[in-house]
Amino acid sequence: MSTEMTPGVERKLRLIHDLIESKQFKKALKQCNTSLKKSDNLMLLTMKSFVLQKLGEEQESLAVIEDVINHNPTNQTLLDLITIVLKSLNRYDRLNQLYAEAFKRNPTRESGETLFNSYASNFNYDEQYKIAFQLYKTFNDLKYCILAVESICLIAMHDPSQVKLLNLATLFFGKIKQNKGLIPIAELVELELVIENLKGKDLEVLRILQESREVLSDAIIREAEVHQKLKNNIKALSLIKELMIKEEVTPNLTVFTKYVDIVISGIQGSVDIQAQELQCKDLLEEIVEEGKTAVVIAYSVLSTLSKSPSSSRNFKRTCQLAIFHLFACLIEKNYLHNYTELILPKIQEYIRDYCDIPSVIEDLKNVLSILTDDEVGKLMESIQDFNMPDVTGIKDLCKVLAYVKLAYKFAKPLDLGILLNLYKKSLTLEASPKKGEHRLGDIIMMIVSKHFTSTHYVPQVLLEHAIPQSPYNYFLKLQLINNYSKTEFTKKIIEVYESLDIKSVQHESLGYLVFGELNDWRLWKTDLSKMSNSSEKFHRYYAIDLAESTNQAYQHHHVAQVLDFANFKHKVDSSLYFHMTQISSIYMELAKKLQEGSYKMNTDFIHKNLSEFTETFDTNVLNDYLKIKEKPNTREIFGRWSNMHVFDFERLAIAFICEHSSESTKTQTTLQKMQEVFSQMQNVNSFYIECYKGILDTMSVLCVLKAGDLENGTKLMSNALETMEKLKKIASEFELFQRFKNGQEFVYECFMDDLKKIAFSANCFEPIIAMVLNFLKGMVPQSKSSKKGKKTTVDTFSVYKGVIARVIEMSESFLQLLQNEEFLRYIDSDSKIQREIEQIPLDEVNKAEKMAEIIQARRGLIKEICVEIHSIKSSSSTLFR
Amino acid sequence: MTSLRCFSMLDLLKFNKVNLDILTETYNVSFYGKYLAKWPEYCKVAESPSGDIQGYVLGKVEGDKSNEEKKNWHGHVTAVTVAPSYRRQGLAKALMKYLEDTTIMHNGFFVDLFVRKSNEVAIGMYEGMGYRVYRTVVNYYSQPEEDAYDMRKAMPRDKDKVTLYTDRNCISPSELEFH
Repeated sequence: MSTEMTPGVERKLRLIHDLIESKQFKKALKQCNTSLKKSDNLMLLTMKSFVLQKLGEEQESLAVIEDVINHNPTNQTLLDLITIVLKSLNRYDRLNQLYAEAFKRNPTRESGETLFNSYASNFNYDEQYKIAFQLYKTFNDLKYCILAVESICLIAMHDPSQVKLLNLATLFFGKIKQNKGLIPIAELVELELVIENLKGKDLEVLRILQESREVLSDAIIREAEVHQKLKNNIKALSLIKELMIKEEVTPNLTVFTKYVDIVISGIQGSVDIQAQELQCKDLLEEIVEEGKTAVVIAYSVLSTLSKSPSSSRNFKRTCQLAIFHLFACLIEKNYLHNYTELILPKIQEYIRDYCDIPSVIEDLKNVLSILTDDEVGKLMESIQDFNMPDVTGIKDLCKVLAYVKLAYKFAKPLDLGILLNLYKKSLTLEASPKKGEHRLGDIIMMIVSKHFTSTHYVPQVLLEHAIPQSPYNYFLKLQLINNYSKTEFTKKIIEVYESLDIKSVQHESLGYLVFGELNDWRLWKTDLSKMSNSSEKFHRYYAIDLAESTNQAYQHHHVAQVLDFANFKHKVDSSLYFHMTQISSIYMELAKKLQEGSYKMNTDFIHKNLSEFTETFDTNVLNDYLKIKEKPNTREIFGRWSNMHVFDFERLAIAFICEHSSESTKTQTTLQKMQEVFSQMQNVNSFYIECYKGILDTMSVLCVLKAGDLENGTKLMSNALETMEKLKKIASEFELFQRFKNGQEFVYECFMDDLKKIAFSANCFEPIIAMVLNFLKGMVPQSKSSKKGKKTTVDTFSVYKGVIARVIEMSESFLQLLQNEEFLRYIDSDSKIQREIEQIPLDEVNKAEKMAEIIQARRGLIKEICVEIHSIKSSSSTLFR
Repeated sequence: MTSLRCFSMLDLLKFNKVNLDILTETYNVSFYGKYLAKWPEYCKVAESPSGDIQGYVLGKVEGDKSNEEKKNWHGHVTAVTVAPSYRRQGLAKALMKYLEDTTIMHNGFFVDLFVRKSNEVAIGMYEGMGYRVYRTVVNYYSQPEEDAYDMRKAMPRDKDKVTLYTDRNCISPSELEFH
């Protein structure tokens, strides 16, 4: 086969490229095949492999690219194209092999560097070291020596038993250091630090850092860390103190944290030694004294800085937080006793001074968690004036919100009415949030949604209400998702999830919000299939991006980053396997059944008929399905299986029928086969196949009529209409039943006819009644409070307006239903109950009594519901008057 | 209390409290990878003691380092963002200060950044930190299309602050020397 780029080949390649760019992959494949018939060219064949990969035909794509590789290509353009295909197939192992062969045949700098990058992309440290060393030896170029040193460091980091190799790294490093300008000085220093750190030579590290203060911006902090490691805390502290005072105006936050950390580690050191009960008392005392001195110094420095008139408010606040952090650590380690008198006034002062900062309570997280109940009581008491009834400005609001947050932190719930009033007040006090801003009052909704969960509807409605008021507050949305998931409102979860504009790597870290629902997923949940695809897309492409970044890190000699990327890859790959497991588990259930043989006949049948299906993509869906039986390789099937739902079968069938509909002779056979296939597949997913069988029936009729077979067509039409009618009923009932089963979503949407259908078809009257009752009861406390004449009630109701309107609408419908004679007769003569009673070995009198008892119970429930509905109606009439 | 530490790829898996914010863009892995691979010293995270990411800065250094004539060796702020619940505490300022210090360490002439013309809050903040509008880049942003202000702050290497002045107050994105 030729690799020559003739004008004709170039034109064809451009045409295929344009089709790929416009995502017309099927046309591109057709073009590849047509072009290959005319011109036997490896470039075209490689392009075909690429198109096949794009179409999801990974096995075939790999087979084609192997065919290209077997021709031992040397043309660089072709090799680049092969690289793209293998990378898109995520076959770095094959790529390594290919480049190794190319380097062996043609050991140039270019082929060697390509091989190094390929190993690096695959995080194969041993091989990359070997090739870097070989390149250095062959070309005597120190730039390869740097790559070798970096590779050695990575080997040693990864495998401590290889630490001896570091001596070689030092040897090479000496040569690199002599040649100034080879790499930037900062990178050179970092590389030397990595080597010495890996060797464990702390004093050497200290020396390098001291000499590099001009080169490394954080050299002093790092010096302090080494001193800390060497238990030389006083030295570490003095270095940090120096920095901290120098940077008083614009604090480097790390300096503060490090300062406290050093003090704490000093204390920790002494505690450890105490625990070990060392014999050497002098040393022990010395260390304890050192710890004490460190605390005294730290406290004195931080206190002085926090009171300095020249310090900014943020600087003072940071000092205060450092003091709290210090206290928290000391108390936690049982090193500080009788601290209440000391610490409580400071916490009070802090809350008062900084209550306008939204994170004021979160800031104190560590120190608050160690307080006893008594101390909390004292604290709450001391800021009691925050809990003021009248809020007239933002400042008051901030104070009250700080109190509310503190109250909930210590599980002292407030009255819902008060909270809602406060929220309403906050809406009037705060201007509409600008883009990206959150409302201060949102915290109330967050608190309510977490604490008032006796019925999930209350938080749901409140959050639904709060989101339009504060559209940029994603915490509200996340909380709403959390709440919906408790009531299994899958569709709504997806709706909110999509509104969060989640992209790229966020699918990986936030996907759990929706993928958790996959456990309930069945093949028909196309929305989740879409979500799964986005995630799968991320997993497919991130590895390619990461390989690219790794190569860039090598180019810039950032060894630490290479390791960071490797950790990231490890983490995300583990997550992918978890994700795959989640999705695959559903399919594995099917596979298990297949292995058990319960579907054997069906799969054999489908397999036999596979050749009949000409649509490539859809055939793959079935092929994958069969692969599960043969070889459950989850990774391979992961992508396409996430697409798999009955809709594909429908498309498959319709496409197939349409294709053959004009050929009257084949029509009958086709229809027969289709119907056989689908009737066999009923066992796989009986309900949906049933539904689509109806659609297929109709399509068949149309085909038959189109083919001119009027007699047969009319007959089929009649059957189809009957089937469709039946299926329509099943489908609508099933949908509602599913809605009921998955959650009480119907509360938002249902109307009387739907309710009737649920009750009749699902044959589960009691759970529905109980659910409605539960929902109504969740609404009633507010309506009852209005009867007591509380002033806040109307305000409370105004927040609830939406839900009350829905309840009234629903309760009206429900009352009508309860007054419907047909419905009542159904309740009294439920066939399922009768059947159950029939099976109980009772005499006829007892059976009648049992039946009466059930009917009475049902009537009792209805009565109870009517009372609740009337109660809501009378309370809400004030609201809507 | 907050610590500034190096940005790690693993932070991409826990920066949602910052990145779910509508004003903070989430890019592909290659974007973050490129910055961490090439300019790790310019990428810092502000972290709370409990491990929450409160904000971060991503930047780079570019230009011709030794060309005294061009004076274009500079630090660039690609992204600086703070989670809404940690705003108004000086975190953005601390992160910017860090980036400026890094640029001084690299001996850069100035630090620059682009900001939407309509983002008055951010512009005010940058001005408070000593940045000034150097020029306008017409239609720099898309979705929605908008002009950008190219803001600059001179670093000690530019003693006379000559890098803050230009004859052309308005340019098109294609005329930008660095992206």
